[in-house]
Amino acid sequence: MNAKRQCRTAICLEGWYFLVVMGFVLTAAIIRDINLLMVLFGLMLGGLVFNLRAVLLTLRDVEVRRRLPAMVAAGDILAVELEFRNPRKKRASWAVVVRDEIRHVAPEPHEPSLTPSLLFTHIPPGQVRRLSYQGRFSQRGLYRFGPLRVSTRFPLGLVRRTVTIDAPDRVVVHPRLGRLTSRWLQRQREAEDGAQRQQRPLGVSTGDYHGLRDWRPGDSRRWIHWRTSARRGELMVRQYEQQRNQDLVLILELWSPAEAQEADLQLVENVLSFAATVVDDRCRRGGSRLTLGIAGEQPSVLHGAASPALLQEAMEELAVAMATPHDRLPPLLDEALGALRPGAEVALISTRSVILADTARFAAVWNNTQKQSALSQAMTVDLGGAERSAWFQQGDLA
Amino acid sequence: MNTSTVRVERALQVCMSLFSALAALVLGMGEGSYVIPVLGAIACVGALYLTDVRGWLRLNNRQANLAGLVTVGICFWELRLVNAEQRVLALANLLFYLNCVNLFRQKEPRIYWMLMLLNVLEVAVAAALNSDMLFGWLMVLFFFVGLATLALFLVLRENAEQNPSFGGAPAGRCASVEDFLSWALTRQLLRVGFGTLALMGLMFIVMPRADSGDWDEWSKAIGSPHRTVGFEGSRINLSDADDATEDPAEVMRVRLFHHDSKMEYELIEPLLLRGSVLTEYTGEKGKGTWTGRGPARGQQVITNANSRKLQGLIEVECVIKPLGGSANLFAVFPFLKVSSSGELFYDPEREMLFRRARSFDSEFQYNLVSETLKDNRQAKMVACENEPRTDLAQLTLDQQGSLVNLKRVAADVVQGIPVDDARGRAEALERHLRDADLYHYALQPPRIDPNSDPIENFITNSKTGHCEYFASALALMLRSQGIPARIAMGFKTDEYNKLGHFYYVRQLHAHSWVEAYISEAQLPTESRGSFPQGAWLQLDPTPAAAGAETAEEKARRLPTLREIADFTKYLWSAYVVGLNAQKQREAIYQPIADIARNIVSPTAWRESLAGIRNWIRGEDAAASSSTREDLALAVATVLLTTAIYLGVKLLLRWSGRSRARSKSDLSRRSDRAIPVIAFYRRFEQLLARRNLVRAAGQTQREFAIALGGHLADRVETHAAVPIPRQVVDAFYRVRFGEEALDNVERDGVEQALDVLERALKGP
Repeated sequence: MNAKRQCRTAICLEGWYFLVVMGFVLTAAIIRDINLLMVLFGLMLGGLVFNLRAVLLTLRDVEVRRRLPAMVAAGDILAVELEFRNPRKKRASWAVVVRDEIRHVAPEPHEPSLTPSLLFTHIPPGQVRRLSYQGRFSQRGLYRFGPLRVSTRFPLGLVRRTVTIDAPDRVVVHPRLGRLTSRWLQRQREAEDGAQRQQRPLGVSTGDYHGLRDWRPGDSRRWIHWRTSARRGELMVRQYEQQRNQDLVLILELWSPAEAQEADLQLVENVLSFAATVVDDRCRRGGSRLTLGIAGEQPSVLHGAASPALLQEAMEELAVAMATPHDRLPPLLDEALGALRPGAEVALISTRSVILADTARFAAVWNNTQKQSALSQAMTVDLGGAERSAWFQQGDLA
Repeated sequence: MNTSTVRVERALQVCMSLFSALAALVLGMGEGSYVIPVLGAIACVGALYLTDVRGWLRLNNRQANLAGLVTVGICFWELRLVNAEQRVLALANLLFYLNCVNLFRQKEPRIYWMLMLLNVLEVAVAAALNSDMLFGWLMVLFFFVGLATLALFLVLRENAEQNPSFGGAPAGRCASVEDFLSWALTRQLLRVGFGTLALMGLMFIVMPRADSGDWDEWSKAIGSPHRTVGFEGSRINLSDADDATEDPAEVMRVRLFHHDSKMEYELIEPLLLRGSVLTEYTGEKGKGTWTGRGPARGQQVITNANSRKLQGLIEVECVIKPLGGSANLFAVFPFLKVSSSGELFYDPEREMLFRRARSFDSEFQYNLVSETLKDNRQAKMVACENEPRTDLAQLTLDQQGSLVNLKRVAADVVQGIPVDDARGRAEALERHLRDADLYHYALQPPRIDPNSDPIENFITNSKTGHCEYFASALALMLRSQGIPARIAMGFKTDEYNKLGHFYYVRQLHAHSWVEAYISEAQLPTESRGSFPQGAWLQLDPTPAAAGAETAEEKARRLPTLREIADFTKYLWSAYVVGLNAQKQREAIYQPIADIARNIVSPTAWRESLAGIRNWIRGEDAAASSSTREDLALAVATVLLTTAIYLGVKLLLRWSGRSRARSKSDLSRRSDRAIPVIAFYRRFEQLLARRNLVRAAGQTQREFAIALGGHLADRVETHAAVPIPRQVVDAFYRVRFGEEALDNVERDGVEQALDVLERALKGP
């Protein structure tokens, strides 16, 4: 690999003890002129020298790669594969430890660096070994991986050779996904039904059959394919390619007091988790457009067709979003509603109670007729209030 | 801990037990005690079974500390009982006791390290107490076991320290440490081990040594029990059946070489090394005894001879093993001293050579030159310093009464030989006793007649005996004929090691022969000037044992395994245990310097080339047959080594090709299976025409299940619902199970595909 490499060879702690004993043996051999002690010293010295030679040769030319997913939800298990390639023709590599380093870089580093490591016991010449470590991030955010520290002490454990391979990688840990409640889904279906009636009738038989998929909460019972479900023992539904959903504008207000307490920060996490769940649901369903506005420390608005690409982009934003004590909602709402399409549903999720009828606060919106109409039909969810559990349930750990 | 880890840890525990047992063994060897090796073996086996395998006995920290304190207490108790120098042994025992305690503890990395450290220290102490070659072999074994122990310990430690998960997640896919235990690891460790040995050897020979050390004295002081061999040089007891046993124990090594050129010198006859002379014979009924004269009245220190006197002579280098309490040395008499590793003394009255008493228990080297070694022979006549006593030329009255037949036989033998031809008479008597038709050599002494003198009985009845009987008989026969005679005791060896160019002297080479005095008047005229005081004529009346190899036969044959073993022991003793600054200069630095000089010297090149040319043409008279044999041996060794090397290389290449061939066979088998999967290709093409394509990430079976559901939706495709699963099952069998379909199965799949095709086309 072309990654930058740094090499370092050092005597281990045990090696220093070994040197002390060697010194003792040599001293006795010289003072007493005992040749057999000299032989013993020679064996110990030879062991040390060959340990040094072995560690130098073991890591020569080896390649180590890391494979990991681009994105994972907080609380979910992340599997990282390390691939060790020994390109040499003759010499095997033995007892090589590959230590990775993971640092939490955004939004705010909460966790200390993690150093997972794997032992590759034997890699014959010209062969590749793949092992993996697993982990679970409790905090959302951006995590940087690397460098990889490849080291060996084989065979005696007296000298350690470490090759540091600068192999940077990153993983976006998006907020933990939860479950949307039936109330949310019911409301969504009603909104979709209304929107479909306005546009064109959509039904089971109208779209081209695409395949079967697992049943998800909110799927119509009419879509269930009973024969297959009976055969597999779980509900399967037909999937139609031209399924059409209602557009959604999802606005988040990540407000928290300047002196935020643990409960305030947890509330922000809940808002982000709820939003991530909604975005994930929308993007997996597809067939609609999604606008995501985040009124946090750095306000941002995303537009696009609900798709895996938008999902990734939205999750990255949600992963690094930070709460703010400032009122960023009015200008963001104004911007987000600017790209509003007819029939789109508007949902505002906040850490505090929001009165959209506050014309003074949202003057820019109320002064625009189109936006005013959309705002008047918008749904607000105050996750700080008692109704949180009515819309959303926090997900369990995988 | 998973199964593979348990296996590797078990291997480590076995290695550690062996490691500790070896350390105890070599320490016990050094101390000359059987207790420590036996206790060590019991502790190692017991700890392996009770502590490591069963887990029945595991000392916790408190118990281990208590046991440690007890061992320290024992050590202090031992320290009180022994003298200051032997305290080293008490401290060495403490290492052993602590090792035993730790063996019975739950093995953690810290305990493993402690055990290894204690073992190495035990071996360090043992190295200070041992000098046997067996210790060397055991140390090599100890090293290899240590290497394996450290490697296993390392992989277990790395495995325990790896961190394959974080955040409470389950561990990922980790390597099995059992993969570590393989032939590849053995090969790797052997490579490291032999490389280390080579490096150690190099370091050992080039590391400068001090000129002398006080190790021998210190070693003796702390009670290092050097192995000793017995030599009773002061008397012969002819009634003792144990006198002549075949003991192969080494007594000394003797190297002959030209003093000036240092070139090796080999005799064509056996070498006689005299230790003492016996002059007094006491014969009783059933028992005969030879003794020397009484205790020495004065000994004089021998100084090194003037180097001019040594020119042109043959030097005799003797390295004598520790003899149990005897200071007597052996030499080719008469001699001049060149050097010695301690003071040499000479007793002129008893004509014996001694060393200082304090050097009894250590190896002793002395170099002498002798004028009697000429023309690859040892002269039979040696100068007499003082005229012998008159009583050596006659039998006592008692003897005359008890040795009637001996006198008669002697008189018969010398009948007709003039009385003044003492040499002729003596040699006639010698020939008589060597006559194989009359007398026989046997290690077992003849049955002693309790009513007669043993020698009279030997001459008259048994006519069988070992060297002491023959020598006694000849000496008494000579005396009966008025010729002064005495018994010489020492060693007679023809065991010449061609590899090391030295004579090996063992206990079984102990020998007795006779020295007959020839007065100046009885000597040939041309010899009288050389022996103004007369001469001692060496006579060896002992015939060769039946089947004994002659010197010529020995010279012709290749070295035996025993000779190779002896040579190895010689190398060990001379260049490992006994390597000092002088030997380093002579054997290493000087030859290297000479080679370096010769390489850069055009004259040396020219001389070498000329020498080779002459040798090839047969013009070089100096190129003796032994040189040619040496060259042939060297060429044979080189050829054999090359052949072995090439053989191993070919074997490795052949095994590599075999592996590659088997891999290629496997690959061909997979390739053969691929055409059979054509039916799956047809299956996919059929579906693709209906826009039914397997999604990325979807397995064939998942696709078949989904497709089954799709086909079930329409009445016209109901008949084809099970077909996708049937086809995919067949595909899995061929692709992943590496099983080819037979014709019936293949036809069945093709017919099913036909049905599917018709169903998809619809009415």
